[in-house]
Amino acid sequence: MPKTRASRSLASTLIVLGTTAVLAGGPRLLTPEWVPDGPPYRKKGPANPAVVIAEFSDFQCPACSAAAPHLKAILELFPDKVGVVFKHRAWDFHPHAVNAGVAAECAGKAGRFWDYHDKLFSTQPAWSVMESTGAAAAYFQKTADEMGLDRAAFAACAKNPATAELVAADIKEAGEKWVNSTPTFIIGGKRFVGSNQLRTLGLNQVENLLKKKS
Amino acid sequence: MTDSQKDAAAATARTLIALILLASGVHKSFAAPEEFAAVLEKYYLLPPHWLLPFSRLLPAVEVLVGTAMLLGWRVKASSTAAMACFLAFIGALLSTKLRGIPLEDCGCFGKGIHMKPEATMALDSVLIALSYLSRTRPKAFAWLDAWTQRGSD
Repeated sequence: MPKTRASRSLASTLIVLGTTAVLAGGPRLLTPEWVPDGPPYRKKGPANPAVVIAEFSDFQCPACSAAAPHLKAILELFPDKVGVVFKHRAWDFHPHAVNAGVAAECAGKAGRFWDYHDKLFSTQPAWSVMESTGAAAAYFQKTADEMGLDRAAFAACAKNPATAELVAADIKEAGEKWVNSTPTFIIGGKRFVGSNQLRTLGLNQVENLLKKKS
Repeated sequence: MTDSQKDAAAATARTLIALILLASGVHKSFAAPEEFAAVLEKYYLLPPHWLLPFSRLLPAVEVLVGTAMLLGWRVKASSTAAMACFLAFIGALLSTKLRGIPLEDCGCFGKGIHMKPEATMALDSVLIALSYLSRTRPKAFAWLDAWTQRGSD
């Protein structure tokens, strides 16, 4: 035990700083970065992209809709090198978000995930304010019809609990990895939250990763 | 009120502030700093290149002040630091109100606990008063300070 006042003062300082380091730094070690993956129909870009952007998104989230053009612009900048994989992070306070995700999954199984994805975001102001889930479901079916998807197959898929489980699995994964904001983009293990971070820091990260791989 | 009652009140206030600061700082530390940076972005107070460093620094400061207050280390200074933190939080929230910036969630406790800016300002005002109370009786159950200062050199 420290015997002098000076040594006890130093020990006290070290106790406080050490506790702070553990409490402020430890949690990040418990939530390590990872490389999210998804089914092939939720991927876009070249077959073997040098850089993959994992997008955690909620179809009913306005910030996610606002980020979509920025993501598209990055993909257009590097069409042969950068790919994207979509991950569901539907919020429970968005009443139609899970059903929109399920509908996109069904479109994906018919090979039209990204068309449906774009359609959901571009028409978000219309369907996100619908008062009942029935009205939103009818809207999602109508959108599928307009895209020429098989009506019976889409309806059966939307009612199949296994489809909702795909969305739920992504939400669970996001929760376990502390993805608490949408949209969150994971590029080479680093996170970028929102449009501004994607188009500035995220784009830098893409360029740095491509330089390293070239 | 007797001196021992005043000491107990000050120590209780200090513990409460410490737990709130620790909860806030540790919760933010679990999430990626980019998430807190995205919240800070909405305040339009910091230049973009400061957002990420600040979002790493603030949770650590909250944990440091919270730990110091919980363990009773340099109580006068840590209570003053807590008051400064809460004043700064109120100032930041008030500035968004005055500039007409809508904030759904102040992001004060990370993403897990959602609080409206008005509720947070009220809470911060109470915490400033409690920090002041803690500052007036720095020797109340301050075990690290007591251990450091006991006996002779």
